Amino acid sequence: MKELLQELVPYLKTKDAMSYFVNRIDTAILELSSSDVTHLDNYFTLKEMGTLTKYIISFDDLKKLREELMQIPVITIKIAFRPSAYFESMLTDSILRAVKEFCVVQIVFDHHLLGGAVVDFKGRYRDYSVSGAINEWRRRKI
Amino acid sequence: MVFLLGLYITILTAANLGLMLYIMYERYFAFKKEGRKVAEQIMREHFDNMKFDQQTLLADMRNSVQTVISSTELSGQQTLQSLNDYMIKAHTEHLAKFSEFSSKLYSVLISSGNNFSEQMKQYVTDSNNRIEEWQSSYISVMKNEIDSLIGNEKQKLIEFTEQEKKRITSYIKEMAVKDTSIIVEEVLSNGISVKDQEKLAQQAVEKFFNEL
Repeated sequence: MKELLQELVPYLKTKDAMSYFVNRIDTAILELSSSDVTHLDNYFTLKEMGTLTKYIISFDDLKKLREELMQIPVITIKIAFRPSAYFESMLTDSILRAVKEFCVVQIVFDHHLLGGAVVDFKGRYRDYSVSGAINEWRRRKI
Repeated sequence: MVFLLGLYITILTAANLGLMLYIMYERYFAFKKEGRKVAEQIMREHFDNMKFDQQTLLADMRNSVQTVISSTELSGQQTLQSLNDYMIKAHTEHLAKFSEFSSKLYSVLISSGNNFSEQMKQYVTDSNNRIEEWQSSYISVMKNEIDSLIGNEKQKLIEFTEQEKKRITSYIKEMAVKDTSIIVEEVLSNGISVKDQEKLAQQAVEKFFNEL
């Protein structure tokens, strides 16, 4: 299962991609309702099937994969502007390189921040936003 | 047939372009509207903080002035002089604090990596000069008014002090709201470019992982 995750997770970089993938597993589990996993190609792309067929040989494997995916932590980055697709992809890649463990990225837009970012990962919450800096200064000085 | 097909494609392209422009136009105004809400919220919070701070300062002033006035060891002239000295000190400190707010807010934003315009730098300098000018003219007016009260009763002194407190509070409130509003509007309208926003976000993420 670890080898399967190592192949899948770099492909499922964002929370949205992960949710979409898990939803398709749920649909497959619900609709197939048997131990037959030969028709998985109705639910997954050719590229995904290339990876899945190597490791998924039973229905239980599919359920186990779902459980493993659900446990992967999410790193949430809140930023003050709507990012371009290029920037979003670049930021996601740099985060995944820095984390050094299985995780998926969620980028959220919040104009209240004015600039900078708020990062939330495994209970660690850090506010590096401009509005956070203003509020912090104001709290200490005025 | 070819002509009709060409016409069809032209109409379709024009319609798509029109729709795209309309969506961009809508989004732009939605952003401006949201930006204004943020500016108002920050202004309101700042205003509340200033108000609280002034109430504390004024309560402190009132107590000290009463102590000076009710002191039996001081003659009328000495009382006025002490009151004058105290009020000058209190007002100078308060105005210095407000001036510090403008410059500190500016430095916080600069240290966050924003690329501010020359106009913004000029604004902070003008604002500080304006405060200094007002401060010196106020002190001179107050000195004259207090000097004219020599020989009058204590009650008149108290009334004068209360009146001055109200005047300065109202002025500082007005100035604080105006200045904060300009600073926040500047940030929201053209303070941070998309390039700077990307840089700031990336720096924040790097900082997070360095601190882990």
